[in-house]
Amino acid sequence: MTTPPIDPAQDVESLLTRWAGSHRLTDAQASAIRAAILQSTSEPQVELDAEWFWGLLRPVTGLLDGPNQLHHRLSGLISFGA
Amino acid sequence: MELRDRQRRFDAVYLEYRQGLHAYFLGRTSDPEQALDLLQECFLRVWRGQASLEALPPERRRFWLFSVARNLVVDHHRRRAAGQAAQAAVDTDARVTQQWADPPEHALVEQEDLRELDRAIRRLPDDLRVALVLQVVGGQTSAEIGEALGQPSGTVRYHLAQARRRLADELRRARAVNV
Repeated sequence: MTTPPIDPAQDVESLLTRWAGSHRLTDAQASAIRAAILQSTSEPQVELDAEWFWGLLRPVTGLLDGPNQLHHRLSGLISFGA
Repeated sequence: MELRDRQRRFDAVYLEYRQGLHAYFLGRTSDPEQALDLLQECFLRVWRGQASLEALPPERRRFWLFSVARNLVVDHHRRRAAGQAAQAAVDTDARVTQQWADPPEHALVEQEDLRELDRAIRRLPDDLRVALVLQVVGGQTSAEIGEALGQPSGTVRYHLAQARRRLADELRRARAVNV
């Protein structure tokens, strides 16, 4: 049983070339990254529209703030149940 | 018009440095997926700091870019150290094994050699591995690697020779065990 004869320097160089080839950045990867960067930097910053947000919450705040406040109605139900 | 001009200047930097920076991230993380993520983050910072980069003389730009890359890697290692190092290593090993397990055109022995080479590259000390990957994957010269890392090119050449010698030793040892 003997170790196969090898030329370590040549062997490493040839393996390194193959290893490097499979790890190099491909054109497709480079294009995808470039596109992602340019897209993220060109998107306008979206600011919160406070009017729209309060409009969205109105049904909830109505329950809490109206004449028949929710917590009064719930506490009535709870004491009735008890 | 101004945006288009800015994109054109960004593209020139991207084209010139993307392979080198990608190789740097690969060398520092040994993780192809992380290398791509870091490359994207790096060039996002380049876009934001384009004015600073362009204000530098050309011979300082490489060092500036690799300083940005270095900071990103430090942040990356810090995050990993916060709990995910072990899992990430397992995931990476699984990905690499899968990557080498598939190609049908390679003979079995060659596949095993490539796996062994991959493991040996991971085991190299950081400075040897980064210099080697910058050269073989990034296509950088010793002088360019030296500029990027802030090292004399003689030191880089020494690291490259050391890295190759260690890889040859590891491959020889692995083959002796497998015979």
